[in-house]
Amino acid sequence: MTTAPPFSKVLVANRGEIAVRVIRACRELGVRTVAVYSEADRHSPHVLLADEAVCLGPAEPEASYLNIGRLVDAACGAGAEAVHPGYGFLAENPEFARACEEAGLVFVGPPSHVIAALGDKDRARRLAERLGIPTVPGHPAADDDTLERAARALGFPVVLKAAAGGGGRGMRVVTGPERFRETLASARREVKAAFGDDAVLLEKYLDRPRHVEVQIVADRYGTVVHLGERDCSVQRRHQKIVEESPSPAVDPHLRRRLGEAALRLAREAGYVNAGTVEFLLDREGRFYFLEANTRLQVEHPVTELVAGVDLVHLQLQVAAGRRLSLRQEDVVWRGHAVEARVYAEDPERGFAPSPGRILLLREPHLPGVRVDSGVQEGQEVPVHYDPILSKVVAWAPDRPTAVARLAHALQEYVLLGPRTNLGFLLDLVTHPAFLAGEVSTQFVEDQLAAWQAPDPPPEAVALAAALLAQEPRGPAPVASARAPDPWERLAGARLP
Amino acid sequence: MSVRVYLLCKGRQVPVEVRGSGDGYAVRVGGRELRVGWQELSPGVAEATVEGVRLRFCYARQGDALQLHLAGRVYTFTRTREEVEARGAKPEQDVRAPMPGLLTRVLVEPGQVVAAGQPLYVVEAMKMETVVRAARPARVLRVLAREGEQVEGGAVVVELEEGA
Repeated sequence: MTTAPPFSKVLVANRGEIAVRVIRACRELGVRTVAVYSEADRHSPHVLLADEAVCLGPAEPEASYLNIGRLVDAACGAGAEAVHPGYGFLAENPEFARACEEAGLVFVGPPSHVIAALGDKDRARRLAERLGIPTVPGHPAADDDTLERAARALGFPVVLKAAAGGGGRGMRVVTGPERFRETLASARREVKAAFGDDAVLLEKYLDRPRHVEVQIVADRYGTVVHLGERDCSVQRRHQKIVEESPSPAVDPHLRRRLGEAALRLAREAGYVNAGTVEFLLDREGRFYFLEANTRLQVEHPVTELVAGVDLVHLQLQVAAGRRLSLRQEDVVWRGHAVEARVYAEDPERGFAPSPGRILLLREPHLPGVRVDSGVQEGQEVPVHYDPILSKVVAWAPDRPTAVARLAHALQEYVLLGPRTNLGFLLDLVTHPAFLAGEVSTQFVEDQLAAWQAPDPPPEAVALAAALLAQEPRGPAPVASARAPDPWERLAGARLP
Repeated sequence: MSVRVYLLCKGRQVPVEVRGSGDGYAVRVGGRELRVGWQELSPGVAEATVEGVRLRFCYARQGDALQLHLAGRVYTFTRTREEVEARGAKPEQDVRAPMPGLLTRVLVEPGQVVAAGQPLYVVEAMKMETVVRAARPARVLRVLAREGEQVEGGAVVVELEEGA
């Protein structure tokens, strides 16, 4: 099927794996692309992958990927028709969407007023309450004194969250009143750094719920469909690390109810483009609206694999004003998909970020495995941004096979230089509770808090000792270039 | 001729004897001797034989540090030239930055007495804030970096004197 490209040229206002993902989707649709990059990302793969690239400025996010003026100038200067924000950075910033709209650029996402309405968690909660969708008891963003009083009234533990953005940034669980002020101050600083606004809200902390979210897509003409749920219960420090679809805890009846709640919210908000409605699911099967994310999610591939759609294609098509060709009754789910996020962090040092040069990279190639990567060998992983390197996603007809494929892929994945969480992910996805599908948002704390990297087996110690017993070699193995080189011999040869 | 190598892995030091043997090496570790040999297929990718068993491994070496990927795991080793004192024998006198990053806040000043668990400074890297705390009660001797400065991983930011 050939159709006209939705746009002639799109600027991708992001970096890393999501920039690569969006650039590839554009290319598939015949859309030319403009990459943007900071000085720290000069050698990131997304830069050369795009048709054009514009340097935004210094590494600091404020000077580059968060700089609305520069991004809009870059898009206009390059003659782009639309801007895809990816996730993170400015993806949920209504001012960025508005700046694009005012500059005559199509923002690939909802209209700025919808981002503002749903991105403000207090407003989104009130909307859900008005529609009769249950929410977790809590208190809207307020000053320190008010929040402390509200926390005491609700009873500890409570959870603090950014009012202006998602991704678990700034999220803190406070177990008692003693550290409330210190924790709130720290949450405000992190939230301010991430979203430019230090508003923090408060919610009652539920005991061991699951995090289940519904993917929706809407066009400009009022058609909204949901593409089923993702289970993102496996989190560490409130950052999702493993996600899957379908959720082991959701049956067809619950799926329909969750889907209907998400669709109702989307319709009422006048939603357009791809979005996610997040819920907490308690152990009795009750669900509570958590927040809506007005953008593409990191974990979108698991939905793509089970629903057989390309979410970035759909985003671009509805952004161009096309009708959604997909109807709810057309959506069918096949098999099971699981994703693991690979981070540059050192599990042996409390998961501290681990930037640095990638010295060796071998990505796994297995049946049913997709790797969405944003890095390449030889590249310096910068210290300035989120530590995500790539996502490994496995699909299979059933959950046990999908999880086994993911485990094999994680074992085959070689990334040397920065430390990564690959070993931790491997132990996580082969943990009996995970294999049984019995997880909650507390899973990592409950089951893997004492996790330690395994000790090296004797053969690893022996090989390491023999390798290190040799004198270190120079930086480049020049010797191999001096070996008989067929190209060199060819240089003097004359063709007949 | 054998070489004695001290390998540091996961905070523990292991003495290892390595000597050339045939095409490969005989490595004595923990009272066991293992015969190892390998062939590098491409830089950093090799096939090894350990005690007759064939394995594939990948490695990256930077000076005396080595990362080794074997059977789905990465192990990190550092060669130390001689035996270092066992960890914990000498209390740490400084609190090192856990990773490279931006020193966003310094919460103590020289001369100040701090309690165990008291926050000393905050480093931000990859959008995560990490609060570095005192492990034990101590007195602050010196503060070696300023707020807003970029610090290296492992850099001494605050020097502490214990038993103050």
